[in-house]
Amino acid sequence: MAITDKTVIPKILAPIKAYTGAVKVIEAGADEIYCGVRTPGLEDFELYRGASTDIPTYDEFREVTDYAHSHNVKVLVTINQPFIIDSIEDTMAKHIRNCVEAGADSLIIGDLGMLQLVKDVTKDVELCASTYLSATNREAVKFLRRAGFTRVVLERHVPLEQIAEMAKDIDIEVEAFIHGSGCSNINVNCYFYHYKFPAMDQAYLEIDGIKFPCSLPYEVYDRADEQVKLGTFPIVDAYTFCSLCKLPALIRSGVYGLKIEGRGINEEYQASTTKLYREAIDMLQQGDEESFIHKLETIKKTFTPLPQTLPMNNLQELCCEQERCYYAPTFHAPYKKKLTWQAWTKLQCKLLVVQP
Amino acid sequence: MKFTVQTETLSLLREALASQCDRVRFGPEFCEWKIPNLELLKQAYEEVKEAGKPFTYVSPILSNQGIEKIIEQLAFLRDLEGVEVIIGDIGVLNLLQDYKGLQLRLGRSRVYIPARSPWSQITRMPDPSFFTRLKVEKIFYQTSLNYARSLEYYKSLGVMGADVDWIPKGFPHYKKIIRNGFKLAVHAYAIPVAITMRCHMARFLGEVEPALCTKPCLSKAFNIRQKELERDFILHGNVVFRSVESQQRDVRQLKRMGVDELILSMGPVSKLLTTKDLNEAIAALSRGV
Repeated sequence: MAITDKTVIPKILAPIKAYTGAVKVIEAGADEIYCGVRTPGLEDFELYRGASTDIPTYDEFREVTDYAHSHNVKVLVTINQPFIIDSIEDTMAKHIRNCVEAGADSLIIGDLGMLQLVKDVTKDVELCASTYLSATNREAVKFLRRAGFTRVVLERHVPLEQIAEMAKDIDIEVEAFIHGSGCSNINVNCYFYHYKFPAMDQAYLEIDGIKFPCSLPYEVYDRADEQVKLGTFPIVDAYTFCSLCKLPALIRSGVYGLKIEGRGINEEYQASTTKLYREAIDMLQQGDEESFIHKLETIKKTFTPLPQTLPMNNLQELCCEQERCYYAPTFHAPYKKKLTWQAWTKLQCKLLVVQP
Repeated sequence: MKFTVQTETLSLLREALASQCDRVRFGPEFCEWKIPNLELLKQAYEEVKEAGKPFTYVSPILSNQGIEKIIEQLAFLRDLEGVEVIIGDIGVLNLLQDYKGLQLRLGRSRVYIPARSPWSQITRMPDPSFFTRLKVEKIFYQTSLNYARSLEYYKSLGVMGADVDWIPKGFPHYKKIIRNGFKLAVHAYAIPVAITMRCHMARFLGEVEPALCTKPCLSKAFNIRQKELERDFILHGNVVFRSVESQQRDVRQLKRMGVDELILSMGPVSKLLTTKDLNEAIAALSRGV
């Protein structure tokens, strides 16, 4: 199916962490923006992201919403915690109220208990289900709609054809990730928090590239016979990054929003990535899929994916050559197996496959 | 204290049925590609019934394909008496809203516990004060069930219990959940640190298509070690575990908190593979009661 003038073009959702970033991504073509706002009283307790990825004050957040609304851009606020407990209820209730009063259009919620709290605190905001609620199938999406959500962010591991099934069959806005931080594990079920401490820094020295605990090398041993060392591999690294090539299919899938990851990264990255996808989507919207595919090769070789110090200079090196495609054809992100032939044979010989 | 044995295959189920356990579970906790076919499920149920033990069906995190498989299995289970279902996916919870006869319990993948993390750091602050550490630690060792509204919501959906992990510093917080009328079962030996749908083990072993996976994890696990961090994990299929020592004094504490069910999972992670292994494990843990 080709993209025609009747195809509904998905919104681009860009990450921000400051007013200046909001201005830049909106200029770059974001249709909606999303952010966190620092939660007074909970600055010390951050699991996945530090407080530095949040807009620091409600006043600055209000400036963001004022600017965004004046450009017809929606602002979604992520309520950062994947869970809530009784002792932080008052803190969270106050935070939710402040965000809504400062102009949030939608709250991204990651816990069903938090959803109940939000419903009690305010009726003036749209409810978006975070990836923390791990919507990986159509029944999960229906459950979230039944619970009161009007939008759902699908888990990063959902394959493209299933995204299309959910987006078309269920009456709810569906968001899919398109760029950055394609986690190796299911978001809410991963406890490899990206904390920094001296031993972790030391471990990162060993790797070139994206520095998360799941990308580290691990010595691998047979559990039944610990004398058998199979080697040292980044065995839990299934990290994906880019979905540029899949953009036509994503547009055809009927998703409402395409989400760029990177609240913690700098404004230049946030804006340049937004611009990249804006231009690509606009090209496709004009029905020029052939030119887009033709231009992809140039984009991959010229676009700088990350501002951080990485040995990879462009999308080609970071994503294509390392096969870090977001929507690879199977469930498995490709893994470059480096098992030696001898170790491989030894392991296969030891494998006794028991069928259920 | 009741001992429940969790199994993924018929052969392990038979070993469990011959053991001194009080209850058996059947089905994969984390991988949808290991969901047994309907005939196998029926056979497992018949054998459990014949052995006179209560039956629990375990469901994992699912894709749309997995949902298809689960639908026919739930249709079979709905007419049976006293069957418990472990909910590994909110999609299953949605399906079960139409089936009122089953006893529902949240699986580990549906309960958030920050202390599953292998890192001892509990705050990102570089040099936290004593009071900051205290405050953060108090949150860190609680679970997503330590919230009254969450419990009420789950109860309104018919869920009356949940599975949690063997994290001794978190035990005091389990007490509050139980007092609020939610039953807890605690898994021994291994804590899931990360779950993926892009199976790490399958990728490593060169499996290509999930649907054609030869399921090497039914008999195999890897010990993986990060040298610089000095941390050891167990990689089993699509899950990274960290092992935990399940001690008798912990059993005593759990009993005091009101926990009355311990889960022993059979397979290469726990290395519980036979009836004898199970009986020894049950005897060892029972001594703590």
